[in-house]
Amino acid sequence: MANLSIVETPLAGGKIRYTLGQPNWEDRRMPDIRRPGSTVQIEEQRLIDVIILGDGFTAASDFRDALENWLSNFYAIKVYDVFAGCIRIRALYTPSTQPASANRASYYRCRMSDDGCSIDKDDWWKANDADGMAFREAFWESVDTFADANPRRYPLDLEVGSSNQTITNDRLRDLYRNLVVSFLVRSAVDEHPSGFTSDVSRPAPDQSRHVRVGFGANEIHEFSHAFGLLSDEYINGRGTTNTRVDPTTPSVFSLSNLRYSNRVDNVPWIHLSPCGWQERTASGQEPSPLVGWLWVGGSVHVGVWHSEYRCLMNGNHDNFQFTQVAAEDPTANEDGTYTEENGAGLRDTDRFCLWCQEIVSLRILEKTDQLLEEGDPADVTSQGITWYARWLERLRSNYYQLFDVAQQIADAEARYAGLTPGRNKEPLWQSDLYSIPKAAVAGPASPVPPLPDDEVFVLTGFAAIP
Amino acid sequence: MDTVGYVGTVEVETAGTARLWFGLTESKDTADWIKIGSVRAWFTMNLEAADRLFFLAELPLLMEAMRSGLQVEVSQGGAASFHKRTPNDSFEVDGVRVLRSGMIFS
Repeated sequence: MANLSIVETPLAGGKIRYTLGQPNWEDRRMPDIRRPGSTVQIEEQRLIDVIILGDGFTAASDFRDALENWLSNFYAIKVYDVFAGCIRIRALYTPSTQPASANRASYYRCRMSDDGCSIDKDDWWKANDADGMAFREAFWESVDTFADANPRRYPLDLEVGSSNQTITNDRLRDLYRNLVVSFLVRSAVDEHPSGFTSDVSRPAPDQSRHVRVGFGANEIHEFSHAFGLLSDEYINGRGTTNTRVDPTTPSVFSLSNLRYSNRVDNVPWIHLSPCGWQERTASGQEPSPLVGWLWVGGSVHVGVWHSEYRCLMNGNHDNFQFTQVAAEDPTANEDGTYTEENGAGLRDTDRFCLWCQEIVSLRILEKTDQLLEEGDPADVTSQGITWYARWLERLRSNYYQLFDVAQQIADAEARYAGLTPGRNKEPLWQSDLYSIPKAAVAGPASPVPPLPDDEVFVLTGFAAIP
Repeated sequence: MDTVGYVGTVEVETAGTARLWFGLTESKDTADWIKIGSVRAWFTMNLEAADRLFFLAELPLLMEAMRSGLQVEVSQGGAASFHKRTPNDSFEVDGVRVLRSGMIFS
């Protein structure tokens, strides 16, 4: 387990600067993905900076409590613990005269819902009104307090795909590559108001530069949206249908935890499946292995899949617990109807599914230039493609060793085998929430094309045998 | 995608569709049919012209594996658009490996 120390440095105006878990990252050493069991020291300009800010905190002790909670939750996630050596975590307390509210009178002027239980999501942080601009000025002034924060950004000509993908050109271009902000918010009625993840742009004339920010409660879930570019895996609205598409060119930059095609050749986590690298079988009434199949949902319901039943990136909303036959699911009311926002809780707060873990590992390795090799293309777009191919060909097996993925799969399968989420305690493996990938359209490769006279062909073939 | 097991049955049909089907068991001597997902898996090969050489090469392996109780590793695609008994139970095969008893696939 990583070091959980927090060191305070008082600043003018009642502000306090915090250094979190410094022994973890001060030597800048991280696992060497090319030599499992060894570590490598990275240059300071390749460190990943995490800056934690807080709005609505009227007492420094409350903010510190929130930081302790954040840090322990962060390192509870295996991938963040394993790569702790390259993630520099710092925080800044700025006293608010009052908690965050709909009146926007807190330090950063974060806008809350009227009931104070959630942060408004109507783009107030992007607005060009006085409050919106004041928010961004205060936000960036705080971020810039950390003068050595990594300024590296993705290039403006980065090409990862269309606006209809999960990760787009607009998302990445001029985004701070090695910097992410976790923005904690405190209201008068809720210590953990529900939040979201978005980008915050610098004030003009640098407005094209933006940083990913996880706002509000469920901090590590939101942080992982911001940092790992991971998507929600829950269903928010039963019957809703996907309109997104998968990236056409595989790249470490466009890799997603969601997939919008159920064809086997389009599922990037098939190596985790029971027919993948760790072959797993079951028969009769034995629990079927389940990790790595297609689990329904990803913000919407229909036409999108993720890789496991449970994950940090899942949630509640309108999830089914066992079956998509809504009236028969345990989330149904007694009369068979369903009340929105009463879905099954499928979030693990201390665990990524194994595909999310692999993606976050790739994000970390990409940001720290650990995928780079001599002779690689100079442009970042081509690097992303080259690095993903290298991952598949050579580095993934090292990752498996580093994380003992085989054991992680075994642990996950054992856990799922014991779940009985059906209304009548039916086991999870009987659920219709997952499916097997469909065959590729072309079918298996054939050694020869169809012949007009196959009998002649067969006879010829036999005749050729000595 | 790969699946490892013992050949428990081999069937051929030509009515309507010319296909060879086989099923795998987890152990050598029992009827513990391997599932993929929640249903028993059927592996299949097309007997029609384009795949005939492939089929002719694979069938002896399957038969020998079944007769001698040898483990096989089957390489298959995703769930086929057709099925044998229940939806998503059929998988087109694009490779078969057979291994002498006592050895393991790597």
